[in-house]
Amino acid sequence: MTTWIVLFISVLLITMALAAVFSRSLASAVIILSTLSLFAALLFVLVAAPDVAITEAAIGSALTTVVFVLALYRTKDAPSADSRSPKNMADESGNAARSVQEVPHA
Amino acid sequence: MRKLTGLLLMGGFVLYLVALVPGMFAPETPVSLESIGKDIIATTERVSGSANVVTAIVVQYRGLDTLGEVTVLFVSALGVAILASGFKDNVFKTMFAADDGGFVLQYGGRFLMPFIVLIGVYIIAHGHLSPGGGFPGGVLIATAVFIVILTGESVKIPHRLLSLLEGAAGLGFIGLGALGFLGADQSFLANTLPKGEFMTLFSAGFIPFIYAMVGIKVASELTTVVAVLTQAPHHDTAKEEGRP
Repeated sequence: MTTWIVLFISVLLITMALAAVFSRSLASAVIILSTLSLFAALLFVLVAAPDVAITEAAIGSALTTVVFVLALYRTKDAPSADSRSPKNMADESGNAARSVQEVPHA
Repeated sequence: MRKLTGLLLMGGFVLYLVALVPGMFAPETPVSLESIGKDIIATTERVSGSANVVTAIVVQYRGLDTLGEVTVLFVSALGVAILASGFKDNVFKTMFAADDGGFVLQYGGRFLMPFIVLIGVYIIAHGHLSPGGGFPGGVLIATAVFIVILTGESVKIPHRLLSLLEGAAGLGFIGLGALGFLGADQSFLANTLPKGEFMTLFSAGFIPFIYAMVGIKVASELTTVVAVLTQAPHHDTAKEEGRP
Protein backbone atom coordinates (compact mmCIF):
# COMPACT_ATOMS: atom_id res chain seq x y z
CA MET A 1 0.00 0.00 0.00
CA THR A 2 2.74 2.43 0.99
CA THR A 3 4.52 1.68 -2.26
CA TRP A 4 1.51 2.82 -4.26
CA ILE A 5 1.15 6.01 -2.20
CA VAL A 6 4.85 6.73 -2.68
CA LEU A 7 4.50 6.10 -6.41
CA PHE A 8 1.43 8.36 -6.61
CA ILE A 9 3.19 11.18 -4.77
CA SER A 10 6.24 10.77 -7.01
CA VAL A 11 4.09 11.17 -10.12
CA LEU A 12 2.41 14.16 -8.47
CA LEU A 13 5.81 15.71 -7.73
CA ILE A 14 6.96 15.31 -11.34
CA THR A 15 3.67 16.81 -12.56
CA MET A 16 4.06 19.77 -10.23
CA ALA A 17 7.67 20.28 -11.28
CA LEU A 18 6.58 20.31 -14.94
CA ALA A 19 3.79 22.74 -14.10
CA ALA A 20 6.31 25.01 -12.36
CA VAL A 21 8.62 24.89 -15.38
CA PHE A 22 5.86 25.64 -17.89
CA SER A 23 3.78 28.08 -15.86
CA ARG A 24 3.38 31.51 -17.41
CA SER A 25 3.93 33.67 -14.37
CA LEU A 26 6.87 33.38 -12.03
CA ALA A 27 4.67 33.96 -8.99
CA SER A 28 2.54 30.89 -9.67
CA ALA A 29 5.70 28.87 -10.32
CA VAL A 30 6.93 29.83 -6.85
CA ILE A 31 3.63 28.76 -5.28
CA ILE A 32 3.67 25.46 -7.19
CA LEU A 33 7.21 24.82 -5.95
CA SER A 34 6.04 25.50 -2.41
CA THR A 35 3.29 22.90 -2.79
CA LEU A 36 5.82 20.51 -4.29
CA SER A 37 7.98 20.91 -1.19
CA LEU A 38 5.05 20.06 1.07
CA PHE A 39 4.31 16.88 -0.88
CA ALA A 40 8.02 16.05 -0.91
CA ALA A 41 7.97 16.34 2.89
CA LEU A 42 5.04 13.89 2.96
CA LEU A 43 7.02 11.54 0.74
CA PHE A 44 10.03 11.77 3.05
CA VAL A 45 7.83 10.87 6.02
CA LEU A 46 6.48 7.84 4.15
CA VAL A 47 9.97 6.59 3.33
CA ALA A 48 10.99 6.95 7.02
CA ALA A 49 13.15 10.06 6.82
CA PRO A 50 11.49 12.46 9.28
CA ASP A 51 14.62 14.59 9.68
CA VAL A 52 14.69 15.39 5.99
CA ALA A 53 10.92 15.89 6.02
CA ILE A 54 11.08 18.55 8.74
CA THR A 55 13.90 20.33 6.97
CA GLU A 56 12.13 20.16 3.61
CA ALA A 57 8.88 21.48 5.06
CA ALA A 58 10.59 24.34 6.89
CA ILE A 59 13.05 25.39 4.21
CA GLY A 60 11.37 24.30 0.99
CA SER A 61 7.81 25.34 1.57
CA ALA A 62 8.23 28.22 4.01
CA LEU A 63 11.51 30.06 3.74
CA THR A 64 12.30 29.54 0.06
CA THR A 65 8.83 30.72 -0.89
CA VAL A 66 9.20 33.82 1.25
CA VAL A 67 12.61 34.65 -0.20
CA PHE A 68 11.47 33.96 -3.79
CA VAL A 69 8.34 36.09 -3.48
CA LEU A 70 10.27 38.95 -1.90
CA ALA A 71 13.04 38.71 -4.49
CA LEU A 72 10.41 38.65 -7.26
CA TYR A 73 8.78 41.75 -5.85
CA ARG A 74 12.10 43.50 -5.43
CA THR A 75 13.22 42.77 -8.98
CA LYS A 76 9.90 44.07 -10.27
CA ASP A 77 10.72 47.31 -8.51
CA ALA A 78 14.00 47.59 -10.39
CA PRO A 79 14.21 50.26 -13.11
CA SER A 80 14.46 47.65 -15.87
CA ALA A 81 11.12 46.05 -14.97
CA ASP A 82 8.38 46.33 -17.56
CA SER A 83 6.30 49.47 -17.30
CA ARG A 84 3.01 47.63 -17.74
CA SER A 85 2.70 46.75 -14.06
CA PRO A 86 -0.27 48.50 -12.44
CA LYS A 87 1.89 50.06 -9.74
CA ASN A 88 4.06 51.94 -12.21
CA MET A 89 1.03 52.94 -14.23
CA ALA A 90 -0.61 54.47 -11.19
CA ASP A 91 2.53 56.19 -10.02
CA GLU A 92 3.83 57.67 -13.21
CA SER A 93 1.08 57.40 -15.76
CA GLY A 94 2.51 60.38 -17.59
CA ASN A 95 5.89 58.77 -18.02
CA ALA A 96 4.54 55.33 -18.95
CA ALA A 97 3.70 56.14 -22.55
CA ARG A 98 7.06 57.80 -23.08
CA SER A 99 9.06 54.91 -21.64
CA VAL A 100 7.21 52.43 -23.86
CA GLN A 101 8.18 54.51 -26.88
CA GLU A 102 11.79 54.61 -25.77
CA VAL A 103 11.97 50.83 -25.46
CA PRO A 104 10.17 49.45 -28.50
CA HIS A 105 10.56 45.78 -27.58
CA ALA A 106 9.34 46.18 -24.02
CA MET B 1 12.74 25.73 -27.66
CA ARG B 2 12.35 26.48 -23.99
CA LYS B 3 9.68 23.81 -23.62
CA LEU B 4 11.93 21.31 -25.38
CA THR B 5 14.78 22.10 -22.99
CA GLY B 6 12.47 21.70 -20.02
CA LEU B 7 11.16 18.38 -21.28
CA LEU B 8 14.69 17.12 -21.93
CA LEU B 9 15.72 18.13 -18.40
CA MET B 10 12.71 16.39 -16.91
CA GLY B 11 13.34 13.30 -19.02
CA GLY B 12 16.92 13.17 -17.83
CA PHE B 13 15.76 13.48 -14.24
CA VAL B 14 13.21 10.69 -14.64
CA LEU B 15 15.91 8.51 -16.20
CA TYR B 16 18.15 9.32 -13.23
CA LEU B 17 15.40 8.28 -10.81
CA VAL B 18 14.74 5.08 -12.72
CA ALA B 19 18.44 4.27 -12.71
CA LEU B 20 18.42 4.51 -8.93
CA VAL B 21 15.83 1.73 -8.62
CA PRO B 22 17.70 -1.37 -7.47
CA GLY B 23 17.73 -4.11 -10.05
CA MET B 24 17.32 -1.71 -12.99
CA PHE B 25 20.93 -0.91 -13.83
CA ALA B 26 22.75 -1.29 -10.55
CA PRO B 27 22.13 -4.83 -9.26
CA GLU B 28 21.83 -3.81 -5.61
CA THR B 29 23.34 -1.53 -3.01
CA PRO B 30 27.10 -2.13 -2.87
CA VAL B 31 28.10 -4.21 0.14
CA SER B 32 30.61 -1.62 1.35
CA LEU B 33 27.94 1.10 1.51
CA GLU B 34 25.54 -1.18 3.36
CA SER B 35 28.09 -1.99 6.05
CA ILE B 36 28.80 1.71 6.71
CA GLY B 37 25.17 2.35 7.62
CA LYS B 38 25.00 -0.76 9.78
CA ASP B 39 28.24 0.14 11.53
CA ILE B 40 27.05 3.66 12.32
CA ILE B 41 23.66 2.48 13.58
CA ALA B 42 25.33 -0.14 15.76
CA THR B 43 27.92 2.19 17.28
CA THR B 44 25.98 5.48 17.58
CA GLU B 45 24.76 4.89 21.13
CA ARG B 46 28.25 4.08 22.40
CA VAL B 47 30.21 6.65 20.38
CA SER B 48 27.93 9.66 20.57
CA GLY B 49 25.16 8.86 23.06
CA SER B 50 22.61 10.40 20.71
CA ALA B 51 19.25 8.68 20.24
CA ASN B 52 18.83 10.22 16.80
CA VAL B 53 21.32 8.59 14.46
CA VAL B 54 20.96 11.31 11.83
CA THR B 55 21.93 13.98 14.37
CA ALA B 56 24.89 11.91 15.49
CA ILE B 57 26.07 11.66 11.90
CA VAL B 58 25.51 15.36 11.15
CA VAL B 59 27.18 16.71 14.29
CA GLN B 60 29.77 14.12 15.21
CA TYR B 61 30.64 11.73 12.37
CA ARG B 62 30.77 14.60 9.87
CA GLY B 63 30.95 17.62 12.13
CA LEU B 64 33.47 19.40 9.95
CA ASP B 65 31.02 19.18 7.02
CA THR B 66 28.39 20.84 9.19
CA LEU B 67 30.82 23.64 9.99
CA GLY B 68 31.28 24.07 6.25
CA GLU B 69 27.51 24.08 5.68
CA VAL B 70 27.06 26.78 8.31
CA THR B 71 29.78 28.78 6.60
CA VAL B 72 28.06 28.42 3.22
CA LEU B 73 24.82 29.65 4.77
CA PHE B 74 26.66 32.60 6.32
CA VAL B 75 28.22 33.55 2.99
CA SER B 76 24.87 33.38 1.19
CA ALA B 77 23.18 35.50 3.88
CA LEU B 78 26.04 37.96 3.53
CA GLY B 79 25.49 38.08 -0.22
CA VAL B 80 21.77 38.76 0.17
CA ALA B 81 22.50 41.49 2.72
CA ILE B 82 25.02 43.14 0.39
CA LEU B 83 22.56 42.97 -2.54
CA ALA B 84 19.80 44.35 -0.35
CA SER B 85 21.90 47.26 0.89
CA GLY B 86 20.72 49.25 -2.15
CA PHE B 87 17.06 49.05 -1.15
CA LYS B 88 15.65 52.27 0.19
CA ASP B 89 12.06 51.42 1.03
CA ASN B 90 9.95 49.06 3.05
CA VAL B 91 8.23 46.42 0.89
CA PHE B 92 4.96 46.50 2.74
CA LYS B 93 4.38 50.16 2.15
CA THR B 94 3.88 49.40 -1.55
CA MET B 95 3.06 45.69 -1.61
CA PHE B 96 0.09 45.90 0.73
CA ALA B 97 -0.81 49.48 0.04
CA ALA B 98 -4.45 48.63 -0.73
CA ASP B 99 -5.25 46.33 2.19
CA ASP B 100 -3.58 45.09 5.34
CA GLY B 101 -4.13 41.38 4.74
CA GLY B 102 -7.37 41.09 6.68
CA PHE B 103 -8.38 39.99 10.12
CA VAL B 104 -7.13 36.41 9.90
CA LEU B 105 -3.60 37.40 8.92
CA GLN B 106 -3.48 40.28 11.39
CA TYR B 107 -4.49 38.38 14.50
CA GLY B 108 -3.76 34.81 13.44
CA GLY B 109 -0.17 35.73 12.66
CA ARG B 110 0.34 37.50 15.98
CA PHE B 111 -1.30 34.58 17.81
CA LEU B 112 0.74 31.90 16.03
CA MET B 113 4.13 33.58 16.28
CA PRO B 114 5.10 32.56 19.86
CA PHE B 115 4.00 28.98 19.20
CA ILE B 116 6.13 28.75 16.08
CA VAL B 117 9.13 30.09 18.02
CA LEU B 118 8.39 27.54 20.77
CA ILE B 119 8.32 24.68 18.26
CA GLY B 120 11.55 25.97 16.73
CA VAL B 121 13.28 26.02 20.11
CA TYR B 122 11.89 22.55 20.87
CA ILE B 123 13.19 21.18 17.57
CA ILE B 124 16.63 22.67 18.24
CA ALA B 125 16.83 21.49 21.86
CA HIS B 126 15.63 17.96 21.09
CA GLY B 127 17.73 17.45 18.00
CA HIS B 128 19.54 14.50 19.57
CA LEU B 129 16.32 12.83 20.74
CA SER B 130 13.74 13.38 18.01
CA PRO B 131 13.84 14.32 14.33
CA GLY B 132 14.99 17.82 13.63
CA GLY B 133 17.88 19.90 14.83
CA GLY B 134 19.56 23.23 14.43
CA PHE B 135 18.85 23.87 10.77
CA PRO B 136 15.05 23.37 10.60
CA GLY B 137 14.57 24.90 14.05
CA GLY B 138 16.44 28.03 13.08
CA VAL B 139 14.45 28.28 9.86
CA LEU B 140 11.20 28.00 11.84
CA ILE B 141 12.23 30.86 14.12
CA ALA B 142 13.11 33.03 11.12
CA THR B 143 9.73 32.18 9.58
CA ALA B 144 7.98 33.24 12.79
CA VAL B 145 9.71 36.61 12.61
CA PHE B 146 8.57 36.93 9.00
CA ILE B 147 4.97 36.20 9.97
CA VAL B 148 5.08 39.10 12.43
CA ILE B 149 6.55 41.34 9.72
CA LEU B 150 3.75 40.14 7.42
CA THR B 151 1.04 41.27 9.83
CA GLY B 152 2.23 44.80 9.32
CA GLU B 153 3.36 45.32 12.87
CA SER B 154 6.26 47.74 12.91
CA VAL B 155 9.02 45.45 14.16
CA LYS B 156 12.43 46.93 14.65
CA ILE B 157 14.91 44.21 13.77
CA PRO B 158 17.93 44.49 16.08
CA HIS B 159 20.53 44.01 13.38
CA ARG B 160 23.47 44.62 15.68
CA LEU B 161 22.24 42.08 18.24
CA LEU B 162 21.60 39.55 15.46
CA SER B 163 25.09 39.90 14.03
CA LEU B 164 26.54 39.65 17.54
CA LEU B 165 24.53 36.46 18.20
CA GLU B 166 25.54 35.05 14.84
CA GLY B 167 29.25 35.62 15.43
CA ALA B 168 29.07 34.35 19.01
CA ALA B 169 27.32 31.17 17.86
CA GLY B 170 29.95 30.58 15.18
CA LEU B 171 32.73 31.07 17.73
CA GLY B 172 30.86 28.77 20.12
CA PHE B 173 30.70 26.05 17.48
CA ILE B 174 34.45 26.27 16.90
CA GLY B 175 35.12 26.51 20.65
CA LEU B 176 33.05 23.41 21.39
CA GLY B 177 34.88 21.67 18.58
CA ALA B 178 38.22 22.75 20.04
CA LEU B 179 37.25 21.09 23.33
CA GLY B 180 37.98 17.87 21.49
CA PHE B 181 41.69 18.59 21.73
CA LEU B 182 41.45 18.11 25.51
CA GLY B 183 40.04 14.60 25.25
CA ALA B 184 41.60 11.25 24.60
CA ASP B 185 41.23 11.52 20.83
CA GLN B 186 42.96 14.90 20.64
CA SER B 187 41.10 15.85 17.49
CA PHE B 188 38.83 18.67 16.38
CA LEU B 189 35.11 18.05 17.07
CA ALA B 190 35.71 14.98 19.21
CA ASN B 191 32.89 14.41 21.69
CA THR B 192 34.67 14.82 25.02
CA LEU B 193 31.84 16.10 27.23
CA PRO B 194 30.14 13.57 29.55
CA LYS B 195 27.54 11.56 27.66
CA GLY B 196 24.93 11.41 30.41
CA GLU B 197 22.00 9.02 30.41
CA PHE B 198 20.84 7.76 27.02
CA MET B 199 17.53 9.26 25.77
CA THR B 200 17.45 12.15 28.26
CA LEU B 201 17.61 15.86 27.43
CA PHE B 202 21.14 16.34 28.80
CA SER B 203 22.83 13.50 27.03
CA ALA B 204 25.00 12.91 23.99
CA GLY B 205 27.86 15.13 25.21
CA PHE B 206 28.37 18.21 23.08
CA ILE B 207 25.77 17.37 20.40
CA PRO B 208 22.86 19.43 21.89
CA PHE B 209 25.21 22.36 22.52
CA ILE B 210 26.60 22.30 18.99
CA TYR B 211 23.06 22.09 17.61
CA ALA B 212 22.02 25.00 19.83
CA MET B 213 24.88 27.01 18.32
CA VAL B 214 23.84 25.99 14.81
CA GLY B 215 20.23 26.90 15.61
CA ILE B 216 21.13 30.36 16.92
CA LYS B 217 23.37 30.97 13.92
CA VAL B 218 20.82 29.84 11.34
CA ALA B 219 17.98 31.71 13.03
CA SER B 220 19.87 35.00 13.22
CA GLU B 221 21.20 34.72 9.66
CA LEU B 222 17.84 33.89 8.10
CA THR B 223 16.03 36.49 10.19
CA THR B 224 18.50 39.02 8.82
CA VAL B 225 17.90 37.80 5.26
CA VAL B 226 14.12 38.04 5.60
CA ALA B 227 14.38 41.41 7.34
CA VAL B 228 16.66 43.07 4.81
CA LEU B 229 14.48 41.76 1.96
CA THR B 230 11.35 43.30 3.45
CA GLN B 231 12.68 46.43 5.09
CA ALA B 232 15.60 48.48 3.91
CA PRO B 233 18.55 47.83 6.23
CA HIS B 234 19.30 51.53 6.69
CA HIS B 235 15.65 52.39 6.94
CA ASP B 236 15.44 55.99 8.15
CA THR B 237 11.82 56.48 9.10
CA ALA B 238 12.14 60.10 10.14
CA LYS B 239 13.73 61.06 6.84
CA GLU B 240 11.16 59.12 4.84
CA GLU B 241 8.18 60.60 6.60
CA GLY B 242 9.51 64.09 6.01
CA ARG B 243 9.23 63.58 2.27
CA PRO B 244 5.75 63.39 0.73
